Amino acid sequence: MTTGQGKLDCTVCEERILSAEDPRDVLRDPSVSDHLAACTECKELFDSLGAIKPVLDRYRVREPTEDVIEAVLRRAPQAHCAKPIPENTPSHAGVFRVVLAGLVSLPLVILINALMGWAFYEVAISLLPRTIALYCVGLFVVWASMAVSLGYASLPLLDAMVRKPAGRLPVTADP
Amino acid sequence: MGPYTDQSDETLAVRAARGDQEAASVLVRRHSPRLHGFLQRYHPDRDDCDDLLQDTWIRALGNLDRFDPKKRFTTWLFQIALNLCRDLTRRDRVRSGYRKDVQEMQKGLAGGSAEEKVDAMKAMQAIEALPIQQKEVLLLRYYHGFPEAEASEILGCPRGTVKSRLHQAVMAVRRKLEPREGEP
Repeated sequence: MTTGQGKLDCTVCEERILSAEDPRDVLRDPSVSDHLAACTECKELFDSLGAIKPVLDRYRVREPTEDVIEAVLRRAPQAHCAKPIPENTPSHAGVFRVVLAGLVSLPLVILINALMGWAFYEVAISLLPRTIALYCVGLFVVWASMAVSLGYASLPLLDAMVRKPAGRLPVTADP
Repeated sequence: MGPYTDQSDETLAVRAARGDQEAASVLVRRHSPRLHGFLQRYHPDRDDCDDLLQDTWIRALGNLDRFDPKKRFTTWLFQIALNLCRDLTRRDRVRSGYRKDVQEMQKGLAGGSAEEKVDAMKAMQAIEALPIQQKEVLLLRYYHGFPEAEASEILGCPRGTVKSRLHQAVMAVRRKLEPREGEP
């Protein structure tokens, strides 16, 4: 797309051509005629639109009747009252539920990990020398802590997964 | 209506979002003709454009709290209308049998002489033959006077794409219409 040819931007030239009642009128403006002489794309649009405009302009459609407008206005108050939760607004209730579930489950997670650590220690101490067994238990505690931390860090992802993706206004669901 | 008729769309939208019925009424009356025209030209094969108009407004008024008054109201409104139209197009592909024939489509056109109606039908058929993206650009830019930047925002595509689609659409319509120009 060419710009700046003949001192006029293509976009401005295009707007002039599109908004003119008769595209030939725009030629009265020297900046437009200069641009059209220099820019083949705008010239092509000008020529083509000039050729089809009489037919395009006859494609007129009927206006909405007063009954239709009235029907919209009658239904409008209902639309105001029933404001849905926007799709891309974070669900605070959802976040709260996930955080609550995380806090409630925390003692249980600690208890299970402590029991596993104790069982692991008992097995390790019966099979290995005490120093090596304690080293293995230490490693277990480190790995278990990391696993629990990662699990809790992923809770916001869980919330994001259950929420609908953000985007354009819903078009299928009723408001 | 009174003083509200002088207010900008964006101011009215903010008032309407707070529950001001009169502001909502002014918006509906101000933009319904243009919106209805867009819906009819987008779906000339459907006879429920009045319902589509209602659906668009219900959706817009029901979601006014999401409208950003720093942006143009018409851009937002036509985005909703376009989404509805696209959704219907997708559904129509699945469920055929809702389509009007040519005679019925002609009834949707505004009055005029027989010659004008023939030209209108030619224009309609040429536009209907366009790929959907080019048709959308032509309707918004040519028939509804949206500037390139606004059309790009409504369509969710770059301005360069709007420009090239408009050029392609105009060329395609010309190719479709020109062979018939020699007809008596």
